[in-house]
Amino acid sequence: MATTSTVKLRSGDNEVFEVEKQVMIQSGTIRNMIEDDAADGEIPLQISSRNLAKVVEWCKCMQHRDRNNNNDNKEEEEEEEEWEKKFDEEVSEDKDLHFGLLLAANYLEIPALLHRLCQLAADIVKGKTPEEIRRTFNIKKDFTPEEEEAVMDEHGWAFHD
Amino acid sequence: MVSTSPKTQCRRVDNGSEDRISCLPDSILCQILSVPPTKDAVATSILSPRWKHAWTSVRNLCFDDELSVMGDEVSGITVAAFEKFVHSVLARTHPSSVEKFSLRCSYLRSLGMFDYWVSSAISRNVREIEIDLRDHERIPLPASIYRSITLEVLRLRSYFALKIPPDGVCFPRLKTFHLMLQQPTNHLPHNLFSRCPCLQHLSLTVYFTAANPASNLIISSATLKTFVLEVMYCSHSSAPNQHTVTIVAPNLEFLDITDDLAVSYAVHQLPSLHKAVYYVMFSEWPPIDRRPPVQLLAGMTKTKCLTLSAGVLHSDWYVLNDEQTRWTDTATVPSCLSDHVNIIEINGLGKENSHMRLAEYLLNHSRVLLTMTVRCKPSVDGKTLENLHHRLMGLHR
Repeated sequence: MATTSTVKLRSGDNEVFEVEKQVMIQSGTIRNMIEDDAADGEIPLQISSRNLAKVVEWCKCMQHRDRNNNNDNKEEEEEEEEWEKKFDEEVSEDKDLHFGLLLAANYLEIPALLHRLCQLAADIVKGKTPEEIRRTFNIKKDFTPEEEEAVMDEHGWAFHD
Repeated sequence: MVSTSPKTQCRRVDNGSEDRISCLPDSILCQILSVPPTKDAVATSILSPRWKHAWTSVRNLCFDDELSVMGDEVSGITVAAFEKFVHSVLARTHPSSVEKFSLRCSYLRSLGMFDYWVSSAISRNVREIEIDLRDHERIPLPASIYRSITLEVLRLRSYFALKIPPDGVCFPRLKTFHLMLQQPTNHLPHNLFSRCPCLQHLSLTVYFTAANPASNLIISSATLKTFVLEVMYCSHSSAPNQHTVTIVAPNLEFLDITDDLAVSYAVHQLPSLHKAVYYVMFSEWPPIDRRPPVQLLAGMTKTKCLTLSAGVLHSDWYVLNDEQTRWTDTATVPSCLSDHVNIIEINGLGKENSHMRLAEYLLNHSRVLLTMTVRCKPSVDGKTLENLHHRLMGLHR
């Protein structure tokens, strides 16, 4: 039987985060461990302390929001919106954080966070030409001119502005 | 130790910065590409060999022919190119994984093609469908849609001809349904909604013209929780016939009516109704039957939060007074106002005397009132605002 109400997460760089189980059950991976009574010791994760701290912060904010969903507290609502806006900006401007969190959310199975991060990634791509996208993300083209032309031919309509 | 590193090796480009997006696992890349319209997802195939086929596992298919048709540029060639594009995407994407299929199409050339596209989505276990065919009206939906056991959300943004199967369950898993009906026949809504066993959220727009004979539309559903109804009427020359909307929904929690025509309502008790919004617009046609607001409100005995438009308060307007909308003073005070109402909001208060009297009436008779918020019309100037404030604050409570 699980005895404590918290769970300890150890980051890749050996920082330990003690978080309420109620907060971390948003993660499918952690929830399974709690249900299997495998979460009583520290859970080692190959996620940097910076990214893990952000994931925990996000989970806390969402849990707080869900719990208060039925109260019509406008002040708290605004505070949460403000927090989410700041989160979005911070992630969009910092590729290291963005991709780190994408992998962490994917591994920890937090669908809502993963969804948000994918939205943000799509927003960055939106409205950009292929060349601009390559520059933004350091993508190397690696197509021969013939290959590139073949791709263009295949989906003509998609490349028509 | 659990690891989040993707299996794909990250590669470095010449200047040493990492291409981290291309290193994401396929599942994440696919989720990112499922966000934009399919056209933009397919356009990423030109980025690099890693991206060439990444889009083929997108779970949302979203087609919009206006995305590449500008102004008067429409030609047979663009329309044909769009059709070819939809076909080739359907042919190349994963056959059984469509979450959402959405189609906005202004230039539809063949019904058969439309049928094929929607049927393809249904055969791929689609969960959500949204279709807007703009000015193309009365187009039938493919027969398979009525029996889909995966479809949970259906949003129809233009008018379709519904060919409901003669018997049995309709839309067996549908929870959310947006539907527009033009000159509906009496039996259609009843026949449709009462046979959707999972329906929870219904948004219905009904469009009447003068040609509509008098009708009674029955919305009957034991599962319905939210119902948004918009009644529209269009005719330049003649008054509408008498129309009635009957609502039988014992589990309804939220009701929102915007009514252009002031139709009659027959409402069976709504014991679960928590919140209701009722807007009657000022139509140019006087309501034939002046019972509607009272009838509808009588069914809302358990409602905790009620929003009414001025049009509801002035339903007698056409008969009693044809100068201006005004609040008719009354000595009666309903017990719900005196003993229960604790929050009142008034929006768009003007400087008309009748507006003030309404505010005073509410303020004077609500004995357990905690908060009253009044928002004035933008036309109310500073001095008048001060006066209003003074009068309201001066009321003895």
